[in-house]
Amino acid sequence: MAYQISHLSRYAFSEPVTISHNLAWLHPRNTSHQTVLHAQWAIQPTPAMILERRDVYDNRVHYFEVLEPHRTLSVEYVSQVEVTPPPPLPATCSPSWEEVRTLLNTAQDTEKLWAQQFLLDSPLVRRTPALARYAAPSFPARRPFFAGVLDLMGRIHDDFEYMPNITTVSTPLEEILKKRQGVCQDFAHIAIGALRSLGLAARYVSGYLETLPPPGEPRMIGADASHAWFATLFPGVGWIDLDPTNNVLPRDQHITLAWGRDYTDVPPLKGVVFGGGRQPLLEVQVDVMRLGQH
Amino acid sequence: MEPISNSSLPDNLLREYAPPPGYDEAFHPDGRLRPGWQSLITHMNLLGNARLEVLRQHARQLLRENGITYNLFQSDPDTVRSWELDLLPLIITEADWLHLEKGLKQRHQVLERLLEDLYGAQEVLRNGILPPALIFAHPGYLRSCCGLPYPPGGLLPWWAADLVRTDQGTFQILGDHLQSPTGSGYALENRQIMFRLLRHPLNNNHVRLLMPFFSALRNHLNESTPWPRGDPQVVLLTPGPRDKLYFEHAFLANYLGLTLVQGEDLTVRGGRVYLKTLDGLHAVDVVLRLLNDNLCDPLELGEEASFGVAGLLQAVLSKQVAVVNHPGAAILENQALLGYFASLCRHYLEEDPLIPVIPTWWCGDPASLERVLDELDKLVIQEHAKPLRHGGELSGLDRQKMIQKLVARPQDFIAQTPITPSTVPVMTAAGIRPGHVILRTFATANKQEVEVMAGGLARVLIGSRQAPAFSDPAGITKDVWVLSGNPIAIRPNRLPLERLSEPSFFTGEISSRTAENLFWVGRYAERTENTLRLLKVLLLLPRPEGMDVWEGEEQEALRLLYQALTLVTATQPGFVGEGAAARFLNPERELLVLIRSPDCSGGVHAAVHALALAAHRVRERLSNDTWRVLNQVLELYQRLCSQKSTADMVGEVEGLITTFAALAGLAGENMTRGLGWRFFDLGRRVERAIFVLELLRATLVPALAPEGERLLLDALLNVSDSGITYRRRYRTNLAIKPFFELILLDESNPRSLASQLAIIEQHVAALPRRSAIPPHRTPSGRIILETIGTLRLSETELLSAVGDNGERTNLANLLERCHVLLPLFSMELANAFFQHASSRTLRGGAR
Repeated sequence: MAYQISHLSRYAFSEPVTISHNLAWLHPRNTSHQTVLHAQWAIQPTPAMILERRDVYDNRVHYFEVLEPHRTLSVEYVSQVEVTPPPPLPATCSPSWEEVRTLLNTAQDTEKLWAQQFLLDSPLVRRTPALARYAAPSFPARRPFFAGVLDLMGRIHDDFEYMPNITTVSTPLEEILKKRQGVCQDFAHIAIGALRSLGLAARYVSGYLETLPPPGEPRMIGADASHAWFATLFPGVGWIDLDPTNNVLPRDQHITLAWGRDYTDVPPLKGVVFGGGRQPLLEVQVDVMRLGQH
Repeated sequence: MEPISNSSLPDNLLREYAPPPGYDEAFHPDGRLRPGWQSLITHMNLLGNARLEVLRQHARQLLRENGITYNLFQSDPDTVRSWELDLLPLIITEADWLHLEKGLKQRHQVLERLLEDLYGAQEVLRNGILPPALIFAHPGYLRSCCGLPYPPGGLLPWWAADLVRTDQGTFQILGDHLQSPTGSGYALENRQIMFRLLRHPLNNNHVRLLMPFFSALRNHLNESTPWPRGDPQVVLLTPGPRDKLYFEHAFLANYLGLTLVQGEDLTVRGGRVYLKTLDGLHAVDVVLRLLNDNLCDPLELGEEASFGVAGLLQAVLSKQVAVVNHPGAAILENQALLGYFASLCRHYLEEDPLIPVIPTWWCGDPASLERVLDELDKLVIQEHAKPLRHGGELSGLDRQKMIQKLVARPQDFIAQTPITPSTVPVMTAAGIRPGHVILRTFATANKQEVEVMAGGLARVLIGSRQAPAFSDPAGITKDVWVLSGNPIAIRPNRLPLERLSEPSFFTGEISSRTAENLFWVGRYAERTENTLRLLKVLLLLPRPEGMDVWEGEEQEALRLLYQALTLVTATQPGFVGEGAAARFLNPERELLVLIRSPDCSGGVHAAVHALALAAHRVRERLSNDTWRVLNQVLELYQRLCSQKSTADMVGEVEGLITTFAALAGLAGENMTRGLGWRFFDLGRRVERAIFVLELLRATLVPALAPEGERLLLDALLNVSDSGITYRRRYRTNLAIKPFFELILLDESNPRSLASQLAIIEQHVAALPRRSAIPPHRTPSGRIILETIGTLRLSETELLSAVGDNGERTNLANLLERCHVLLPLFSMELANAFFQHASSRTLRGGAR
């Protein structure tokens, strides 16, 4: 399946911003089942420079500076991406979750050394006894690893209510665990924290989801949002993505932007501005459109 | 141990010195002096107690004058602690030193290799020499620093390490300081004071110099540039005057000839770092930062936007700037690494460590955790970023809690064997006593060589064995004397200039923040002085309480002067408004509030405090003499405040006025006539002009009968220090027209309004401008031209004319016009040169 994704962020400042420095994780990754066909920036005012680099997780990051005074900053990234469903999982011969944990914590080869980062605390996700207790019912003794992860995803989907605007980036995970409300980033963080609290590896995936209109209604442009889910490491098989917000294994409707330990490693856009007055108003429009079907 | 009796000493200062069991730096256990100490102790004994006490006081005075102990931001006197210098140094023999120096060089090599490895190939993690969790879970491991280019000057051009000597007499490493390796400035300050007080023992003992270290540091900084530059621009980035170690930052910047900057002075454009100066942006090649990693770049390293420079990491990545020490160095301060140093040393250098590390276990390692739980009572436990706890001193419940925490989050804890640092004689008020000593050493490196400072900073703990946090510059310190077998040629303790590149930001290129602060130093100094001049005149005149002496017009004149005091300081109600008549007849309370109340916003206290604050912010721009005069101001002011009544204050007020004259003189004589001096002088001139016109507006707009006017004019001439000029020039009785000529219009009288405006105009013409437009067409130039024009077109005849309402309307109009224009000028100046926006961090896209 091929998509055109347009992701627009527009900041409105109460006073002029004299200079701003920004980082963007907006370029979709190439993965074993995803290929970026084309990508293009539209930034107003025009940045004095844009530099591309790879971060430590091999995501493509863009650094840009806006040096002329401005009251609004609009950053749009349009990309075309081809997505194929990932291969089916060997669900039948799954080792127990305890075996997976031992494997992750012992061997020193590159993959597992690297995986260590995703076993430990990260800025927004700290392992706690409460998270371990939440995870426990999904991982009774000797349960196959993958069955446990699927069960955890299903429970988060059932236990938590999708509720925008009640949490922020800085809402502590313990509070979200208590309130059982939040948005996709929160659910991903809960799953990551629950797995890590048991000694399993989990990472944060930032991306998009194609949302289809109800039957008979037209597609609404810009009605989509950026999305987030998590992935867990199955030694010997690789990282497997899971979307607790929708309780699905992503196939070809999830488009991957970037991954890291948690949200702080891969925010779509982040910046430091000089001036600007009060907290600016931010408007975000995301549009995910199938190519070749209008 | 028994008190040491050593009959060979003539006046035995150390007769009652009785160190506790353990290693003493000065004495063998049998009471004999250790090598290196004899000549110093003999010298001290010859000086004798009384002379030593004088030297001690002198040392204290020098420290205070240099501003080391003055802490502006500690308003609570109980929390103000002083930094003391003990006259007895810590002596290190040549043999001990050679061992230490070699060991420190080895340690530096290992740290440098380790940092490169952790952010690069991660060999030590792959080989199992370090457990990955020790690095990956530590907040100091900054992923954004992976893949940064290796800088030409190495990753760690400077470094400080803390050492102790244990019972067995061997040195052990306590820890490293790499993000902000402070203390070398204090070491230098101590040495400079010792050099003044104990020059002969320093000479006779062949004490090695500190200068080669600073000289090497300066060279290494120049060599750190990402590409060869003949004249690299090096700045020292400080968190600012609120930092407890700001004094040292300013001192080092001054000594090394670096520009002292705060984050807001720098900007990144096109991936290059620039210093914002009054005449535009100037590229910076090397940033010596005294900021922690997570504060350096709010875009990439942390969220706190108030200290660092957004885009700094990109500039490092683009090889446009070198940051010293390299970003990411925080991970090396992870105390848990101490426990692995021996293996790291063997891995990188195939050598055993020459200086052992204090025995340390990281509890994240299961075997270590088991051992720590077994031996909890014999260990000290430290949770990450929290104070030490002695396992043996934990009560039952606390012990249980500690064990639970250790088991739940072992990776956050380290354990160490408790140490008793060696003792050293310390001069205290109660005589010479033993204190435990911690030695901070400093080194600077490039890719080829490591230069260790032949000396250091010794900190003494009396009674306690536990080291306080170094971020708190308090307590007793000692100079460290490293002895040499050969005589040392004593040179003045200054960097040899031929080895330095020309200090480039000296004149034109000062930051707008510095210019702003110098402007305010000028304004507040002048403001304080003006208020004091008016006060002095009032205190010397007959008091309103004794009104029976005077009556009628003379009393009215006096009332106008008291009113003027309130109006020029903007401290209403004071002697103005409802109830003013009663307050005038009993003015003592109002005067005392104005002089010493911290809550009186236009009062003397506020002005002195604001002056000290502005001066503190540009500490590195002020000469030591200037700083000493400022300290005198503060001391005299404190003495002034301690007087019971205003009648007793005249002496201090006069003393202060003289001190301010000295300050103005120093600025006139000793400041280079660069932009910094111009802004300082602009501040003084603007303030003085505003003072003159407010004073005249308050006193001379209403016309008095001749007796009253004579008294008034006489007082006003005294306030503006123009009495002698007046009498020499006019040789007449006091009259209003010549008075206006002298005080308002005469550009040759340095205290007249006209002369302030003329000088301001000259300064404005010399300030940098964006384009080729003439100075009088800049906004500030236009205003000053208008003010001067208005004044020059005035005539004393018209100004002194009294209208039907009994007021001098023309004078009132002129003063009113100037009173509108001058603050406008000050504002335009600020708009053109002092603009600062604050920065904030934004996140977006997802929510």
